[in-house]
Amino acid sequence: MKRKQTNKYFANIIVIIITSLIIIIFNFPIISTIMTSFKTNSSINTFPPSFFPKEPTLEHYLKVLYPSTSLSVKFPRYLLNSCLIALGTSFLTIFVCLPASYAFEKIRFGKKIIFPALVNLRAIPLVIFAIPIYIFYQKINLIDTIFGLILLNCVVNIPLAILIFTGFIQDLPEELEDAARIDGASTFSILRYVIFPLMKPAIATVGILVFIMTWNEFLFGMILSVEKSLPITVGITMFAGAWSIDWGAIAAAISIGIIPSIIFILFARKFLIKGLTMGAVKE
Amino acid sequence: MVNKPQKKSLEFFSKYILLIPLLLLIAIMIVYPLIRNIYMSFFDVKWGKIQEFCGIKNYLNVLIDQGFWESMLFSLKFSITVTLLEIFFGLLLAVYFDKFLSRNQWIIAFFLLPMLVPPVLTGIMFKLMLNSFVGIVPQYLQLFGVNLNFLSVKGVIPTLIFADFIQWTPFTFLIIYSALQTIPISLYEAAKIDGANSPQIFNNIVLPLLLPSIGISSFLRFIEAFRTFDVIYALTGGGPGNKTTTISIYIYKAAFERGNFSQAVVSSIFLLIFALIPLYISMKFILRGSEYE
Repeated sequence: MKRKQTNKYFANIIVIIITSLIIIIFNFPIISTIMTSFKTNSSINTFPPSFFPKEPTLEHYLKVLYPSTSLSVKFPRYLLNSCLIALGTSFLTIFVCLPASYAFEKIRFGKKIIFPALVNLRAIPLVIFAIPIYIFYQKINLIDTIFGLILLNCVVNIPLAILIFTGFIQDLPEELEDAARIDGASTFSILRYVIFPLMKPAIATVGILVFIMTWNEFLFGMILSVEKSLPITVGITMFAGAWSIDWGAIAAAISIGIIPSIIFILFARKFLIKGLTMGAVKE
Repeated sequence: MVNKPQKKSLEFFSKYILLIPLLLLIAIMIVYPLIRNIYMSFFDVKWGKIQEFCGIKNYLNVLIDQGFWESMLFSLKFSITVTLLEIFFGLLLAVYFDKFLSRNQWIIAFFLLPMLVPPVLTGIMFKLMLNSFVGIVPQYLQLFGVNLNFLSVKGVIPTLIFADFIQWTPFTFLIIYSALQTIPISLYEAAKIDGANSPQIFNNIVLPLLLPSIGISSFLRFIEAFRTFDVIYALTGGGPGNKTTTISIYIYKAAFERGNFSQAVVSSIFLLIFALIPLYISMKFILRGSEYE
């Protein structure tokens, strides 16, 4: 009996060791970048290397967050841009997709053709739209504007948002709406007073997922912005030239750039998992 | 009573109104650009300025362009490799950690973090970690007398595959793991009572039930890997030479580095034609369950 228990104890320890090993391997780029961001420049460049910072310093964070005015790379601005673009995209996507999903699912309008066409849009590589949208944006003066990037990211995220919203709406009880309809409520008031309050988890899921997707977006951020609307992903790639590869600063900038991902996975894990699996598995 | 018909027509319109913002956006940002793309493909376009009609000359130019076919082939090989690797290890991790993670749910957060980080930053992180000047990995290897250049002509493709693997295995893991959670315990118990051993249970019960999610995650990984841009652009910029140029990088460079919009537009039309195959598969299989019979 006792031997069985010690065996179990050892088996547990082995699982924990393997788990930690796998987590460390998969997160190694992130861990080593965060470590580098706290190292002094001289310790980054010395050989033999040290994985952990010997004399931790915040100098790179200060340099990145309070750049001298002569520098062409304005990190705080990129940070603000990315926040605005990601927040704006989340709101716009919810505003556009929630009513549409309701129409697809409950009014059964457009469910046969428009809905599948939209959801499957994500099988098409985005780069196809890069050139015509670039030319179109030039024509209507949306190049280098935050609104332009919000609009684009919203379209990119429509398939995912619709998939998640319709999935949630399918699970809503029919009785509530029927009762409201019998009481004479219009479609709009049903949407506003019945559906909307019940959809809060779905709205959180879509909002968080779209925020992350937009924050992570790079290709269109690069094509459609010149200076004023540069998102953080593009801004960080510009560092290499500006500081003649100041790896400490780049590491600090990356560490700041992945903060939303870390916050969301730690505090909104359930929403993210729900959204990501719904986006992939349609039962 | 008098305003009842009016109210009805309002109801009738309201369902259209619900869809109008969405349809408007799609029309402006998807349909119009596609039509515009096809129109532009018959003209000589330099730096976004349409110059003169030139028939199918652009199409022929792309068809005989070696770079186009090379990048298509690279995208194809790259996406097949990473999909197979990620599915295999995603399945392995999901099955191995099934019980452990359902007891310690919060640990999943650390499994998923890599896929939530901006891909372009993953690329730069790999550069930071692997470059031969200050990279922590080559430096430690050097301490053991191993000299490896991860970004050399020889090492760059395995490095890119590994970067994609690190970032997206969490995704295949998550999908397969979630599917695993939906298998009722009673099935395992029934099989055990009937005297089945673990490999038998896995082969005859678990694997068949996981097949749909394995299929969907391979499909999604394949199409996403095929159009990879961020990681490779950050890590190698498509080089050395054109060695790691994916089709997305090829189109981007044609348009925004060389200013050859014609070439980029026509390449993207060819890409669209190729993308119709996965689109068809997606329409046919992935949404099948949601349609009303």
